[in-house]
Amino acid sequence: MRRIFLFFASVIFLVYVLAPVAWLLSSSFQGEAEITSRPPHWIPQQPTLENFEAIFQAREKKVTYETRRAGDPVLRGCRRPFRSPFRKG
Amino acid sequence: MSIRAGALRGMFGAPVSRYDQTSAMWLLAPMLGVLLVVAVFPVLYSFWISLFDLRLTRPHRVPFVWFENYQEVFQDELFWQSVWRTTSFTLICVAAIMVIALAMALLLNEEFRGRRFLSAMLLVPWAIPYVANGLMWKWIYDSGYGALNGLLFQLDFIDKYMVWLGDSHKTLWLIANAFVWKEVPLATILVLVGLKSIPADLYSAARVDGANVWRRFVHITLPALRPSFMLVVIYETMMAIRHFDLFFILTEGGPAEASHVLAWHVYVETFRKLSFGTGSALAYIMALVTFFLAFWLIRTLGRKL
Amino acid sequence: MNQFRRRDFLKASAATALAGSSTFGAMSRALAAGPVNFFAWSAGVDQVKAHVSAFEAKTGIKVAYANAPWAQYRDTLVTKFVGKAPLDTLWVSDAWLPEWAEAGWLAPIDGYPQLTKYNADVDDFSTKSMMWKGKQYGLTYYTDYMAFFYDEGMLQKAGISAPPKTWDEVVQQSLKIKKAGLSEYPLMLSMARETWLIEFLSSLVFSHGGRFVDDAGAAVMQDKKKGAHEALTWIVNAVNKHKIVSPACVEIGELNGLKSFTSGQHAFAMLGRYRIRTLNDPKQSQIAGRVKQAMMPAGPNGKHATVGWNRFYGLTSAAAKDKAKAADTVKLIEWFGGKADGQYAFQKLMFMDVGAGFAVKPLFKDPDIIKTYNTYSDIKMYEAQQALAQKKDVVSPWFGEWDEVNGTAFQAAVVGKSSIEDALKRSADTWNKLRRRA
Repeated sequence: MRRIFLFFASVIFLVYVLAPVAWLLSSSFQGEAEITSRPPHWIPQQPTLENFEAIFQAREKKVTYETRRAGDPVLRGCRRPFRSPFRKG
Repeated sequence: MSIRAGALRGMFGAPVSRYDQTSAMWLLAPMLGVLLVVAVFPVLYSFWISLFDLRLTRPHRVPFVWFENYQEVFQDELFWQSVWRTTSFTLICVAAIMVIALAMALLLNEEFRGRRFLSAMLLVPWAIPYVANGLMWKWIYDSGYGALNGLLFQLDFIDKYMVWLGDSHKTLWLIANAFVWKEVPLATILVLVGLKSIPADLYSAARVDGANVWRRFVHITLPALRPSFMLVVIYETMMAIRHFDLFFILTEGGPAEASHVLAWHVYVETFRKLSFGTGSALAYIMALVTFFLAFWLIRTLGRKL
Repeated sequence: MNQFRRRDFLKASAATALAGSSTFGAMSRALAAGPVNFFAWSAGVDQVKAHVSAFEAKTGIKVAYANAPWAQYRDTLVTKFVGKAPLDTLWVSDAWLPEWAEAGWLAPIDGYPQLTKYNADVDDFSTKSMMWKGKQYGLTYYTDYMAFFYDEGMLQKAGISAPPKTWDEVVQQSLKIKKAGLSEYPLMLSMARETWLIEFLSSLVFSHGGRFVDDAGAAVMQDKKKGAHEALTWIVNAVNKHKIVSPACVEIGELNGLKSFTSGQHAFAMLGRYRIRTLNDPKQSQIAGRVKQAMMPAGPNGKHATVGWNRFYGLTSAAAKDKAKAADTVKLIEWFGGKADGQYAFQKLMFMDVGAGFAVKPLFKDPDIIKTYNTYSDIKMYEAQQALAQKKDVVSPWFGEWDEVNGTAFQAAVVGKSSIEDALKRSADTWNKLRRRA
């Protein structure tokens, strides 16, 4: 009796303490497209490391005309074929 | 005060040799210097600023206005509304923290397998920085894609996604929830320490006398926890009154001032309206209120500490 | 003797304290002869970085570039200025120019002919937006206006053949779309208290034929005919009576609104014109190819007017004081706001990649630009709406403070905490009070 009670109490405790963080962790592995799903994907169906890459690589790469991405960085801008803004001649 | 060799008294009246006192002072000087710059000077300087009408967008004209800033603050209706909102926020938070911390501490006080694991997990909310906590809850409460909406929708409690933070009736409660979630671990530990210091003999004696669980709880546990409760109340009250981070990240005082508390009011006055005079006055009022509240709480409730 | 000791001790502590603080001062001055500190908001980050790399390669001058989100830009910059963080050049919005110029944070660029020579290529209205009390404070970064977009596909599904021309038609078409079950809140309107809010509100007020402030600078927003009354009534009804705008609008910022529109949840949206690029890009939008720009709907007494804005490169007073630093910073400003290697390279880069509007007239004739724009929008609509764009009428040294109160008052009316008259009266009273006090 006591054990059942303790078990349920422990479960509620763990859910209260860990659920938001678990969601945070799950979100961090979801890409831009998946994270705006309704209803949300509790476990990422297309897990990706792109968020972590973005953080850790932010400083290292030097961005030039060739390596830049177009579009809004918030919406994950993409590479454009249009190279340099300077016209030849 | 004349000096007689062998009867020299230091600052606090205790006899001290001349050599010790001098070198002690010289060794303390740098540390005191740092404290003066970092702690004492800003406090005095901000009081000095609060006596001027200092606006950053008008740096050439800074009139000395005595206590007009304070007058303006007390005549501002938004100030009193902020005080009211801060009070209700604090009361809600402290009450919730007390109840939840007590429940968790009672659980952790029992002996069972996995208790250590639970204790370790308890520290997770505490470990998250305030700003990260704010961003996490902002995402959970999001009206378009949030986890709260998603969960309630999947469990069929709601039939379409609702507005949470943007609903001025719910705003303060939601922010309180985020605050309580982060503060509960520390409160739980404080209460747990109190629980562990209750001698087991008291419970055995009570059981022999025929007291049931509830009576043991009310007549032994609660009174013995009074010092812990007082500590939690005092600490959490101070934290709740001064809290700023969640208000900045979740709602920026909105919508339509639903979460415009005192700490937010100081920020808006100083950094958005760029009025450092009234901002400093507000900060000072807030500091004094917090100080006297702490003083009063410790004196009246902390007697058994 | 003890008292003398105590006094000496306190003197020693105070001396240490002062010595410590002046050391910090010396350190910060020594760091000044370093990179050019360039601060911007988070638009075209890769484009800025690429152009900065080219600048560093060409001139050998190092640039420290950092950015912050536009929604919190003013707050971030005010904190930086007050805290005397190292800052040499930065993007500034026309709305804050009087405030920051009066506070002494920005320096005029009139004394640099290598910058002012570009005024000849720029629209007069743009140059005027960068002037305060007769002095010019920067070179244009970009100029644009608030546009009205619609999802043609969704309209067709609801049986609507043409976009709405008036705000009444917006209501009627939205109700039709709602009834067809295509969208719950057909109009995406962002009303969160952030930097964008004044632009959204101004376009609504101007298109209803009203204004916040008259030409003399006195508040008229509370006036039922000439002010913001009609516009605010329309918004309040749209949210509460017709339910065509979500009540969550007071929580939705421009960025979230953009995401919401690109995910196909709305039929109409009010967004900056440059957003059309993103809206019709299949990699960034689920409704790509279906979004078109229409003229801003007109109110019953209004016209298709909208609000136009100008953002520019400012030079900080701190940079202007140091001759060497000023020279480097001016070179960077020219590289970005003027010509780089003889061409308007950055302006073209921003337009081609992000769709940001430019103020330099020669670029309108650039064939790349004409060809590219017509793939995702209509260049004639661009020019037609731009002709009807109005400058914000509330730009003043107290704009920041008034904007807080005005935004909150509008929000209060929308959520029902205040009547429309009270909200506008509060806004007008604040404007008049601030104006008198200045």
